[in-house]
Amino acid sequence: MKEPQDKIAIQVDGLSFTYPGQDIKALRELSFKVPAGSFLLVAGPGGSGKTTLLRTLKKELRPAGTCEGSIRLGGESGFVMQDPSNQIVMDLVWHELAFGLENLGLAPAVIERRIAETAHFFGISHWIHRPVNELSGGEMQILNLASSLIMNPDILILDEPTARLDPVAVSHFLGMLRRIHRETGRTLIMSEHRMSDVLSLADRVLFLEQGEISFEGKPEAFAAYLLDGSHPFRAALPAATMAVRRTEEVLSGASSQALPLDVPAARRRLRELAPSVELVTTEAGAPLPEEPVIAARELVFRYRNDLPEVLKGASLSVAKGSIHAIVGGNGSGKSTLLHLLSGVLTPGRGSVKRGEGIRTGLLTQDTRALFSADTLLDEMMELSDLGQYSEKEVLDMLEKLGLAGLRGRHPYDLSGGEIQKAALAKLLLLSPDLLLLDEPVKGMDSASKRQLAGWFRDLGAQGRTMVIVTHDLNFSAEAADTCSLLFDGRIVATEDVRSFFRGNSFYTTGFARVTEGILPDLVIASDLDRIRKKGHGG
Amino acid sequence: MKLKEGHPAVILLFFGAVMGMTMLTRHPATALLSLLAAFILRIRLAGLNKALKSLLYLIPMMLIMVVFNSLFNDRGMTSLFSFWKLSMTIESAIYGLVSGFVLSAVMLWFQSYNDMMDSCRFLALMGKRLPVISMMISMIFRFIPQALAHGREIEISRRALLGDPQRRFRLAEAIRMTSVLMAWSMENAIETADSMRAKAFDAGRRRAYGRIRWSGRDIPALALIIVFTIIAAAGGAAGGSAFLYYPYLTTPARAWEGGAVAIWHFGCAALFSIPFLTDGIFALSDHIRDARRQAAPLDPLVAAMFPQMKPGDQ
Repeated sequence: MKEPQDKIAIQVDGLSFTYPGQDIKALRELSFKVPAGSFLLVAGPGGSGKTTLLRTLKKELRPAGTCEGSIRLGGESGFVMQDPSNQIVMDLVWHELAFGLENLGLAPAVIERRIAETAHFFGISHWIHRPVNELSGGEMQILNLASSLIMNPDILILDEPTARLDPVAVSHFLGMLRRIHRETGRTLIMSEHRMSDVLSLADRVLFLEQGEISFEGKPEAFAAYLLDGSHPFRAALPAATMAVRRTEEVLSGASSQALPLDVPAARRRLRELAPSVELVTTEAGAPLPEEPVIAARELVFRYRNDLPEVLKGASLSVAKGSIHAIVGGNGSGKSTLLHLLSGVLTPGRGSVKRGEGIRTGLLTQDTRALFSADTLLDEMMELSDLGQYSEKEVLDMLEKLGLAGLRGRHPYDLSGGEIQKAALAKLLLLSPDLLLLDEPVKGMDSASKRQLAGWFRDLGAQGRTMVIVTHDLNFSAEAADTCSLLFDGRIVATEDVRSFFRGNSFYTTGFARVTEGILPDLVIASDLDRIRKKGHGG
Repeated sequence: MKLKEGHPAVILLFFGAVMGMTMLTRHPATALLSLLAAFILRIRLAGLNKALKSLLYLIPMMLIMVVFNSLFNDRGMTSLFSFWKLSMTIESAIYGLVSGFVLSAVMLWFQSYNDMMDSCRFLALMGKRLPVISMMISMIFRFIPQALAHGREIEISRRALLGDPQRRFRLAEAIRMTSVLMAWSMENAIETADSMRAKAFDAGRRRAYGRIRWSGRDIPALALIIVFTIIAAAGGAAGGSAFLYYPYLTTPARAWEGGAVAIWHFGCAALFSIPFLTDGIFALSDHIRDARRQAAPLDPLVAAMFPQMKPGDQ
């Protein structure tokens, strides 16, 4: 440990914050203490003031506005933000690592040594000569973590650092955080709305709602607080916690034992409980029509002749009215496949056949690429001639997506989830028959994801077809009917979504991982309702 | 290539000297020598295929220079033929050809220079002198690929939404794409500025740090460059680099005095071959060291512990 345990890293008393020109306080009378060496998770739904709080803590990043109350920091602080790429200042990895130290005016020998030490700690020594723009998002975020830590801060503040990363990169990043916490004893404060992987790492949770602290305490107590109050935010809890809690409820109420937050503890508990419960069988969904809307055969594609092939014979057929998810690791060619399906790219070999008169709409990964108007409403009206829709239709659409209140805002002032929804709205106003969506739930909290999944089902019922490329296995299990796995440039498996996730043992949803071999066929959150006490009928 | 791993100042000095010597002379032999050396260096650095590909534009360029020079320059005694009012002479054609050699050689040298000195090495060289500019350039090198990638993303998402723009809308579409890119880049820049502030950029104590160090391995190359440049310069100063094209091709008498021509050509040839000479020197020294290690007896303690070990194994 770097400091004695009783030392306080952060003390906040009666902190309120108001953005200029707004009546409502973004933060209201917050008071809390963070002991040195602890890992505080700041949880809360989108727009609850997490970012405002974290930025207020770091003097250099405090937003413009009125700040009341007092903040005391027991040392220097480092800050890691959400977007992996925008935080990077310099062109090469070692240069980026050196940047902060150069600003402090340290001697070259000291800088060299710190770079060596840090690169070694993070295991990035083999890529310190690489240009930063060649790094993946996950690597960039590790670099951002390293270039903050290299300045040797006592407190590390992280503002949703994993929101834009894929699952593998998330677990690598969190593993690094765990090492920093366990091996160096630094104080960590991290905000996150996707808690499933983070909750078991943290030792304290601060739960913000509308700028106020509604809970402060241990993670286990926090899980119990959300579940006891049937709080809507409970959907963000780890699958492990929810599966155990539900099983206990079915068997005569919650037990006195603390709720498990990670998979091993949950599996131990479930194994004890499993003999007395069973899963009600589901009726199979209506069979999908066979008629394909779009069919790709043996697609081969490379971006340049001297580059390796991204796709090496991928075939895919999408049935009308279905929601087809394509999952796969980073760089497996998911986005490329989607671009080929849309016709923006043409395949080197192979063919894409689209049904007669099918109108295709594509949403690319960074949806900010679509926006240029000054307000959300103007943005939506931009293509009204092309799509022949009226302002009323736009307002209805915004209403439906819960964006109506934001129509006067600048598109860039929306949160990550809101901007995704807005982009989707813009696409839907053109009423395409086939929607090709690249990571539509990136940066969304679990409530918005659930809303979107329901909305996709409505669209499917209207006869629209959707192809969704995503890293988010839980979302694809909730939203899709069919799932394909893309690996090494080919589609290696296509199955209905339930068999797909049941068939995989670790590339699968959180629920399937927790219950594999204990309560088989439990794949998504709504399956929890199918748990019954044995011999209870059902 | 050992020279490539050396200090950027050495690389800069080498190419400066080589290109200087090449451009200063119109001596056909020197030009040919420079072209040959530059071409062999291209083969070493970029491979035979890429080196041959560069001939695809170098040869036409040389031909154009021959044609132009003989068309617009009627000096020279030996007339080939007359055409309309222009008379073509062998001298002016050869002058064009040699100019073509010089230009091609300089272009090839410059390509090799680019291969050996990437932007960061050049910056490291000037980082200490001009810290602000070198930081700005570094940020620009970060920004350009990012902006290009964003531009592609914008283009793809617009095309996916709207299809290929009709011709009459193309300009409007391009303007719109630019405005999206500007807004996006500006938005990103705000975050980058935040990140800079979070890393104490405002502290005002900034001091640039470079990773380039002089090492003992730079000395042979540096010594060779200096020595051969002096030799060539001495030969050149004595008139060894002079060559007359008009009225007819001659080496002037003073170039022969004291063997100035020989000294100049020896200096140039040696200078042009430095990348290969340094490779040879290091290969030789490695070889000698290996031989010495083989000859050295094993430490008796090591020999006792590892009986299967022979001298030179490590």
